[in-house]
Amino acid sequence: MAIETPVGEKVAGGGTPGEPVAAPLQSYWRRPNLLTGLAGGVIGYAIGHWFGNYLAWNNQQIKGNGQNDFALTLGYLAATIGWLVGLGVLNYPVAKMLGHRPEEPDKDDPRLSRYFRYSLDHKVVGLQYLAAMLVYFFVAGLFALVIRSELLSPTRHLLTPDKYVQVVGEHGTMMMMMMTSAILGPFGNYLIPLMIGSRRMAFPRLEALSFWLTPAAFVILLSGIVVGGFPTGWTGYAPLAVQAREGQDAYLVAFGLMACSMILAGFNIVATTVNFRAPGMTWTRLPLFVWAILVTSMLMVLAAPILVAATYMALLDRTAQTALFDVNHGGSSFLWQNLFWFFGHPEVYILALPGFGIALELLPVFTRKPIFAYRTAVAGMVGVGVLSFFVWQHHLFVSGINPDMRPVVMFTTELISIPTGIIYLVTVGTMWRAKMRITVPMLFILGMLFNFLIGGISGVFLSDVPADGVAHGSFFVMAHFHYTIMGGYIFAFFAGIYYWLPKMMGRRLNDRLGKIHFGLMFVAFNSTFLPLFAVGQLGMPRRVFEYAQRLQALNVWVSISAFVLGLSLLVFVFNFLKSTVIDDRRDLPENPWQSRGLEWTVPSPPPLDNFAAIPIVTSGPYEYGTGAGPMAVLAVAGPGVALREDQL
Amino acid sequence: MSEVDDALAGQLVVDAAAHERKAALGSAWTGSRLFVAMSTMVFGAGAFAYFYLHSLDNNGLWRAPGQRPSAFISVPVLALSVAASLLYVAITRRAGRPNANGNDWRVAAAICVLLLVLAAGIQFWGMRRLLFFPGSSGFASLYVATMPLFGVWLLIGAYWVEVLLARSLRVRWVLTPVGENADTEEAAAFAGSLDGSRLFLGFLGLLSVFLYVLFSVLK
Amino acid sequence: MSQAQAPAPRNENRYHLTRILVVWLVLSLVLTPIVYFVWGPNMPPGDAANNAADQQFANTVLSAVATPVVLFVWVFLAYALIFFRRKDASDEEDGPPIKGHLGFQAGWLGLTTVIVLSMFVFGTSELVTANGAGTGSGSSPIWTPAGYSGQAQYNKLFQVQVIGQQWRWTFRYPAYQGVQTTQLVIPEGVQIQFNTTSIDVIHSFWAYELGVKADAVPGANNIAFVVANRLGAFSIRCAELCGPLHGAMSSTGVVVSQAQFNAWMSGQLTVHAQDIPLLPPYATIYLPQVDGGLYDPNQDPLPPDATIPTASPSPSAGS
Repeated sequence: MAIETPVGEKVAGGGTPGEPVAAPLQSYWRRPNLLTGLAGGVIGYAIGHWFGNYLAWNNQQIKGNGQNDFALTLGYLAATIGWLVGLGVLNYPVAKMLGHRPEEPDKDDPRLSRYFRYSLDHKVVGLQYLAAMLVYFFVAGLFALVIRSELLSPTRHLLTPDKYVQVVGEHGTMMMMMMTSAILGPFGNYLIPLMIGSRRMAFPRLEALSFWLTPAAFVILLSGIVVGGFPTGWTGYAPLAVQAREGQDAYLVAFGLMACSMILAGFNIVATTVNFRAPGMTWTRLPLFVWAILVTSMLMVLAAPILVAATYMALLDRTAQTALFDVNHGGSSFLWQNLFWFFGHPEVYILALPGFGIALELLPVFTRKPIFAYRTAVAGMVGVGVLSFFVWQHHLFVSGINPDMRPVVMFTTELISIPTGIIYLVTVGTMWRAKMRITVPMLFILGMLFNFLIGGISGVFLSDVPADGVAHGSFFVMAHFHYTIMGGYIFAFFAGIYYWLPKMMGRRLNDRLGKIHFGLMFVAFNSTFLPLFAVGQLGMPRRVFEYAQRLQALNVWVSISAFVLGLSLLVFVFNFLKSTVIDDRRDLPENPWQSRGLEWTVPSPPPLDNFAAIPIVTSGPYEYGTGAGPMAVLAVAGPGVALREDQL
Repeated sequence: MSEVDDALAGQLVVDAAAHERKAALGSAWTGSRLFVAMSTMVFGAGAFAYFYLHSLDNNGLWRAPGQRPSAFISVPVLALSVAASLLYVAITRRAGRPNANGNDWRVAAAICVLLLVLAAGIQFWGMRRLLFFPGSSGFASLYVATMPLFGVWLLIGAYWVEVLLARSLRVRWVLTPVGENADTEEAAAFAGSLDGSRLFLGFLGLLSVFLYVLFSVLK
Repeated sequence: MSQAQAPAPRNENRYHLTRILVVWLVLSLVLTPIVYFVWGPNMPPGDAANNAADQQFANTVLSAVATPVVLFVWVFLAYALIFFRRKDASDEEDGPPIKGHLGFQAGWLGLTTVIVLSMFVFGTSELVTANGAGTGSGSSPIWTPAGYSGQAQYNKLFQVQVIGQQWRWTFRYPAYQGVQTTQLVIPEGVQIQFNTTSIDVIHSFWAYELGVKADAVPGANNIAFVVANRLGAFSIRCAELCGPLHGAMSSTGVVVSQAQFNAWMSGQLTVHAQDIPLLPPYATIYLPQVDGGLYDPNQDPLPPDATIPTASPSPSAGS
């Protein structure tokens, strides 16, 4: 396996040359790792399930219908705690209670095994996130292919209605839930310290915890299928969610855990970006990617707690017999809708903003020009973030809310197109008279811009209440969010992978395969989702397994295109595996894209502490064509006079 | 930024320890404010639910007439939470001053932990002695949802204070560092966490009053 | 190498701008009228009812406004891909360091603001003048057709209640003894008020050709108005996931003449003569009632082995 490092070469995360290869297996077991975590999870589940049974075995509700939500919910929660205990996450929090100092864990462990452990190195966490996100994405994508297979015919069915609605729910929830951190997790965690000139994150333990919650959430969500699945789709609407069978508990617990993961990740990034910037890294020199992730993190910290509250309330309704969402007993199904969408709308901007961030970060590199209207771009992203809290009721336009609210929310929703349009303003300005280099990352950015435009414009249709009367709850909405999220965010995600993999792993993905991946994916993506606008406008609701006969031709076209889309992703998988695992490491230029970014001034992959000395930033990252020197003074040759930071 | 240019010319370095010390202090400040914001959002969702369900009064069942939580539970919880909060906020402010007596703070912190754990315990125990069925009304449901969560938040506060107390017992100088000790990252981290815990405990006190008003005062 | 911060000689910028604008203008002037006049009248959801026509109009106007916007970005991207590329792989030079242009930024922001505000005015005016444009407007709609009243005895509109349940639509006609039918039949040309509700989970009543979409929420009444202009059938689908058979929850309604409606209704009244007295009294929402009064949870008998103890010290097993 090529990833085994020959003696003498630097490895990911650093380590001393001359370190022997492949240390004996024995020492892997002495410290907590993935396997001890799994063991903890299993034991924890058993304990929790037993405890739930103990609490509620005599409960009338449970004796009647044979499903014990107490046992399942407590089992899941205890499993998560067991998982964390097994991984060693709780070692220091418990040791703290006895007053112990924080330990500096085995950061100079150069082995591959550090990726399978609770590691405090943000670069390790970033790569762990990348691998995990790719797994979640492909599993969720497989569910999508099952959906499209079912929709090949309006009358002949592959799945029972029950199973179909479960598959729809798994696909949607896995994507919306797991992929929320698809850019922030891998790229935010890996790159933010490098981009701001810091040697570490503010709260590395919280960052690592945010990662290790995601496999737990993933497994819990998948296990829902085993216990009967959940019939509510990713939106989890209330009376149905309380009525549903045990699989709904899986959805609620998994979503709650992911919300916690999001909060922790966002929390850490805000603290790091605010406090750990190198001297000279002023707010006006901050890379736009960092700005985007910063705004995203604020959204996560402020919006995700609402989701925790909502899922917690739904679990209580299902177990402790509260009536928060039961209109017969003083609750209201509108309560769930309002709470969920108060989180749900910032959530979609949590998805959109990192995509914008990557696009605006890569454009100057591949156009060789400064970013056009930097401050306006920042204002745009902040504006999107702030406004995103005021528009959630547009998901409830036809649900019977107070009619006074509708023009108000229509106004705020239309208004949000202005800061979103600023992203295109900056794009146009940056590409103006540029010397564009059409590399694979640039192709994905161009594709993203094309797709997000269509997605965004379709959003304007949805924000107009009369037009929403046709489109709400139909495939038009489906096409809209697939264009913005998959066409925008996921395309940017791939751009990020192609662009930053040389930095993160010292390996470069094959260019020709990359272009094939892009071409096939772009064409197949548009071929899959463009007809869905028509399908929705022609009367097909979402999440249905039967539809009008006249729409079959369109659906068949879409399904075939979806399979081609899957094929394009296989090309990526092949490229990724080939370039990272199968091929031998080749000698690569340190900065293959000739980017000015601070992250490119350190070796690839970066050493353990990122920078040998705290850099002094002297110019911004986008000073192409201005003749400005490098972004920062990194290491100082010769004797220097130590200067306290407050003297700079 | 001319000093930065001088840095280039004079080949100066950044004192990494000082930089990271300042960053650690700032992170604790940022973190504690974010944590209070996040907690506000969680309980804000509950407050929203309260006023929303109250305004809807579906099926006339927002609140059965005369339905209220047991004062035997809610008053002690309020009293203990507020007492812990006031005590901690007052004593911690004095602890930061030069020549402060560290033991004052340690005793106050220990009492505070006890009060908070007691309050949380009473709250959880109260859930087994409810005067109403959880699903009997919107009010009842919301009470059953919110108060145990508040108990968890009290325990988080207790944990935070206990950790600081334990550290100050094991490494005695960290509470009132002087001289060389004052320049360590450990002193900075502790001071930051101390300030953050003070904010959080104050928030807990206010939250307990708010919840008491919501569930035991408002009609 | 290091260029001045001031923009390049004006002819370079103006040159490219002119070419882009000309192409964009030509395309927009050709395509926008086609979208508005040719595609518009054929846009979904058709104009078989006043709401459908309103929704079609909204789609038309939005498409017509979107066309030049989309065209601008597409023309620019295409132009940039052709003319703003580096000559070949050996060209390592940077582009001109243009960091901003106040006029362009201000113009763009101003234009997008104008477009957005006019879309808002358009949408609101349509909502107001079209009595909610077929969308569910809650239990107290504010933009209502003539003859509407919040109080049942003064309401002169033709009322139909749409009841959603897992997984079937039923319809009640309060003016006809509250008879419940499984098919929706409405007279043409009459102002109709749909009162939508549900008796279990959230559904959504979507009458496609009528242009009506109103969520059916348990314990809530959601009102939508429509006037059907054409005779014929229309499809009814559920537009909110309500369980496994959500996909099968569809029906076909019919718009008929007043005379045909009267004939059909008298037929229904005969067919359902036996069950009309058995139905619960017509109400806009259906919630459990005890002895005609409000539901009293204290009268709810707790099972003998309930784990939640009551206030009275009765011995309860379990826990």
